Amino acid sequence: MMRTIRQGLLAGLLAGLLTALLFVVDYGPANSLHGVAHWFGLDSQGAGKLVGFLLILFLGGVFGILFGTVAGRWQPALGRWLLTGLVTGAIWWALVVLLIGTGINHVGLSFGSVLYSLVPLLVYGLLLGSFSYQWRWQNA
Amino acid sequence: MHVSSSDHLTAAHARSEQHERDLLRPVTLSERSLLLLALVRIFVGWLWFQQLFWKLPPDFAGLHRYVVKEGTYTFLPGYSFVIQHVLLPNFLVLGAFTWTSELVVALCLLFGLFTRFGAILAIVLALQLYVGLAYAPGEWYWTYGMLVLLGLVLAAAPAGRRLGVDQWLALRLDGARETSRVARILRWFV
Repeated sequence: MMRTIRQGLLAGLLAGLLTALLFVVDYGPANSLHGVAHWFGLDSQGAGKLVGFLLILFLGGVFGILFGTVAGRWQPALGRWLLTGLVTGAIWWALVVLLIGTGINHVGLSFGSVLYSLVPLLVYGLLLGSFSYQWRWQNA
Repeated sequence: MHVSSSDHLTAAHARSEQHERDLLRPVTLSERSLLLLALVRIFVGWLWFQQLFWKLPPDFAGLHRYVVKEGTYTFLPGYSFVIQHVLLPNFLVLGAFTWTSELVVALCLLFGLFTRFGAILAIVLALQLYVGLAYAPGEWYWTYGMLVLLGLVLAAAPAGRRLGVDQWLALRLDGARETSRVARILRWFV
């Protein structure tokens, strides 16, 4: 069990890193990371980008552990793991962007901002499920 | 045992033929190459995804000036007429079609879902941009050329088979293609 949780953590960190890199590539560069910090009310002119980057890494690890705890009990089956990863990404979006960002910190949510936050977090979920599945087989 | 020179020549000829045949052996991509290809696919998908936000519905406003620019600077004879008399008068339809197509490309590439379909659609959209904008002032003609080439790479290689839904879909469609024509067609796009 500990091994699958550790694998979940590592897969979550790696998926989080790639997701954070997606947010780095923009007109800014990395202006999108201000939006991530904004979800928690932690945005600032000087440190907002770094805070956003570290938040994605941290949350990537946390949701990776949750994924590892749940999926670790199952036999590795790619379809199921990818789906669970996508659901994990959707839960991240609902809890952090919708509940904390919009509900508590009153971040405005337009069609564009829903799309720009939901899709990368679903990509995170897909990467999480995919990395976990890959490593589980490699270490089996 | 006596071996004649003609036997030596035949053996040498066979070896050389085998060597030539080996040069044409199909290439198998390594796990690392597949992962690298998947990362390229995701970032190209992100490229298309980000372009949705300066031409958001319902008015697709950001797109309008580019369509006007295409009407002025396209190098394809007759295309200017089509833009000015068919596309611009029906701009909202064009905007909805363009935006939806680009969204489909982005989702296909980001999630590795029917990746080749997404890549082929990307090639079509990028070719249109090349024809319309490559020689407009302030544009670098290779920008759209490279967009076409990126699409070609992702259509040619199995870029969705790692870090993508295609990894799961490919086996399922392989299993079903003996009995289902739809599965056979869908398999082309994975």
